[in-house]
Amino acid sequence: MRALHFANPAAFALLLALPLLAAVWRHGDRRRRSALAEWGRGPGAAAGNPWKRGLQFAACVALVFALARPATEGITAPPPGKPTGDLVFLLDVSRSMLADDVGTLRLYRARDWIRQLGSRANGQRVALVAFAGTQAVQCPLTFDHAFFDQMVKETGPDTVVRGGTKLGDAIRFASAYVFDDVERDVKTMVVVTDGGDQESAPDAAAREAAQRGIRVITLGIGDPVRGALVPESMANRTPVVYQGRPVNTRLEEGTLRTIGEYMSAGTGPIDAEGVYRRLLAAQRPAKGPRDGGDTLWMACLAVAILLLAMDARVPERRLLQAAVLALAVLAMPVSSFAQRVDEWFGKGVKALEEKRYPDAVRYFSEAAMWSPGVPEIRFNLGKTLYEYRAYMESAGSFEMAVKEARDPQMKAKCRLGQGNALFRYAEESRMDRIKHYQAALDAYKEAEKLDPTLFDAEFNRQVTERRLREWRNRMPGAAPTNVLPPEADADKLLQDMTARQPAAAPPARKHRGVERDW
Amino acid sequence: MPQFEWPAVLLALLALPFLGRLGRRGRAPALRITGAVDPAVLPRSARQRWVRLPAALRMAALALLICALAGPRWNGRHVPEISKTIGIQLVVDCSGSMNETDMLFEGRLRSRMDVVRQLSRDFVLGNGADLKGRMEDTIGVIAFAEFPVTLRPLMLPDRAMGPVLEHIGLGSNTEGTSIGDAVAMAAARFHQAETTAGESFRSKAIVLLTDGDDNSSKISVERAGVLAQQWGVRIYAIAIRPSRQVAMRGADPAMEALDSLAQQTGGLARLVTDGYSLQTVYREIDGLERSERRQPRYSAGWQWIYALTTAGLSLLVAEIVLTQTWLRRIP
Repeated sequence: MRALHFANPAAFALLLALPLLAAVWRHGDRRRRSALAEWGRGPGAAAGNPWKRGLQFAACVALVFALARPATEGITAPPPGKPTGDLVFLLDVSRSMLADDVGTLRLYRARDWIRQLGSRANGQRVALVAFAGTQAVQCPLTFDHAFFDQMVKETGPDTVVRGGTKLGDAIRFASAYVFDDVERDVKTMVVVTDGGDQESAPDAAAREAAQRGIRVITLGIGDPVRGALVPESMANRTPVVYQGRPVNTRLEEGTLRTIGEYMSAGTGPIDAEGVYRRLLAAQRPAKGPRDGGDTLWMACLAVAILLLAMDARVPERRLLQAAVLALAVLAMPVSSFAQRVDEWFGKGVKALEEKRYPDAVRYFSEAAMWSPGVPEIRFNLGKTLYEYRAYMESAGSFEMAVKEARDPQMKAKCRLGQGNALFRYAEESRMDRIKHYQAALDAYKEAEKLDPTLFDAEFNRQVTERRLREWRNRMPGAAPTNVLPPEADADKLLQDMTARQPAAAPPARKHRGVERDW
Repeated sequence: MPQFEWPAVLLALLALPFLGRLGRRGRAPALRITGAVDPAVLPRSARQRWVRLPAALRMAALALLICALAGPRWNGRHVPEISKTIGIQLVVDCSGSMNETDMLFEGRLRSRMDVVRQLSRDFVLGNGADLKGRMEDTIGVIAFAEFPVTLRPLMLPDRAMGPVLEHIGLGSNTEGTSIGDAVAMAAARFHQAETTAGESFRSKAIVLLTDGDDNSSKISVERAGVLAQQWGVRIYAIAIRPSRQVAMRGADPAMEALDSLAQQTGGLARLVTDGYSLQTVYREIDGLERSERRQPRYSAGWQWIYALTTAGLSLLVAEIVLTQTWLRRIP
């Protein structure tokens, strides 16, 4: 089901004013009646035409709904596996970043983090800004991650012309000059620094960035307690001396906690995968339709216009004609939906065959939106998402297909697909692997139960059981065992599994499903 | 200037006068009054003067709502879908010979590099006349002499693109000409960007400007052509040969190599002798590498839809109130 929500629910407050309209009409009728009584006419003609008033009232309601900006969420959203965000890294290259309390220079460690995080940002544009007392754009927003990586490696204290740490200035600079006005799902700024801001109001800068729709995330680097001495330069490790004392630098978390979301990475390596998934993986906004992506508000507005046009001084005797005409106009798109669903379906199958997965997802999603309850569409969508490596979404789609399917064999195929998606997700996931293996196992078992002749389900179940045993044995405290297959064999089995993916539902069958619904 | 997401909806405005006329014609007189006095000579009351106001309000409300439905955007920039953009790599020869002042443009002899800088800038950012610019395409800039250097990665042109294009060739890398390396790098950057983006460009093109022969490449021009072909990149090769040079050279193997490079990848090769011919070639490429259809989307602007819808609703309510109070018709 596609959930309906409203981006501007405050508009519904206007509905409270609608009873006032009824009061106004009542007032008009009363005055008309008394005027007609003076002319000696009966009260019957005093009331206005209820049809016209009904049209006006309905138009007002439709306009209020349009203002509330209704939108639907659901499967038509592009898969979260393919984020479309922008990621701008701000790298502190001040002299304190040359301290070596993280096993190596803070700068080296910070560059490593950025490279690791950047390498996971597939589908996202990335940029790099070096900052200290001033800022320099090392890499503008680009999909060319190789160039980004090269620039990260080359960034050092010499990249900027003035020393110091002006965190706030850097955030303002990146907000204004590095992010462009292209609409993206999420715009994120990641500041990698050891703190020590020099009165540049970074908290206010982060708030300004938030107003522009930019998330600011700060990664703190360095030892917050003991710190380390600041050397003269990368080559000259003599400590900097100030007022007769060597300068010690610590990670100043106090300031950093006030700047957006803060994560202390301390002195050790970071779990780049975890940090990326938790903080940086661009997801489409949970709420709020994308411009052009949702058209329910348009439908409300169009209905209101149609109702008003029908009511705009159209003679009563023509109201019926106008209503029929309006219904015909409204019905036109509906009658074309069947054709469109068929078309989308055909295009989706073709795109899937040609391995154009983003296109296939789009086509099947459109078909699913207009033709709910057809398991073949969901099945193919699940299959496409699987091929597209959006495993969790694929499992969700197969689950919906199971719910929609009536034929046990179809249900079994959907469960098999769901099991495969969950298995793959477990393989790629670093967390809750066992849980996902178990879910995959359950799906395979159900597939076997629904269709005992489904050989693939049995085979895949056996593979999953083996993997589950393997991972359970790897858990701390588990007894060592020799029954596990070597890693290479497991990979071979995985390849076998891929080969045993259920094929896409045949077009003829899909068409029947679509036609049945329309 | 206001722009509209769905401008075709505005055609509905044409129906409004017809709707107004239809309404007037269908309205029968409510009361017949004696013809003893010519109503034309009677003084007109304020209500008589404003009697058409409700109809006008209704039409205005409809007009505003139709405008809202068209999706107005104010000062919005076209939001390109990255997957729908055309990718263009400008690959410019910056070898020492490019500084020779023998290229006629704008009525005087200028250095080849100067002319290339100016016309490349016009090509990317537009010249306000025949070249509209490529602001919605993904552009990269690579300079090469002994080795290629990426000056700008593939990106939508921003305010820094102008200065970059104006300063191509200001560096120490001026010895040698590595056409093969530069073309291979440009093609590889396309491949890399597509891999990380997970999408393909609508089309990919390398605009190669050179005045020399390949003499310092690690990757041969032929091999670079194969790579470009493999990754679906077209090459538009522009050989700069000022008239004097053309007269002196006779057979031109470098031009033949560029020709075969272009043919191999489905692009084209052109020989330019002055700034004017380079401008013509840029115009030709600009025409060839254009999207057939754009999906117009504009940034921001929901506030305009809200404003127009709210205004339309207000006018409608005003009309209803007026027709039931001060401008009430009887019966």
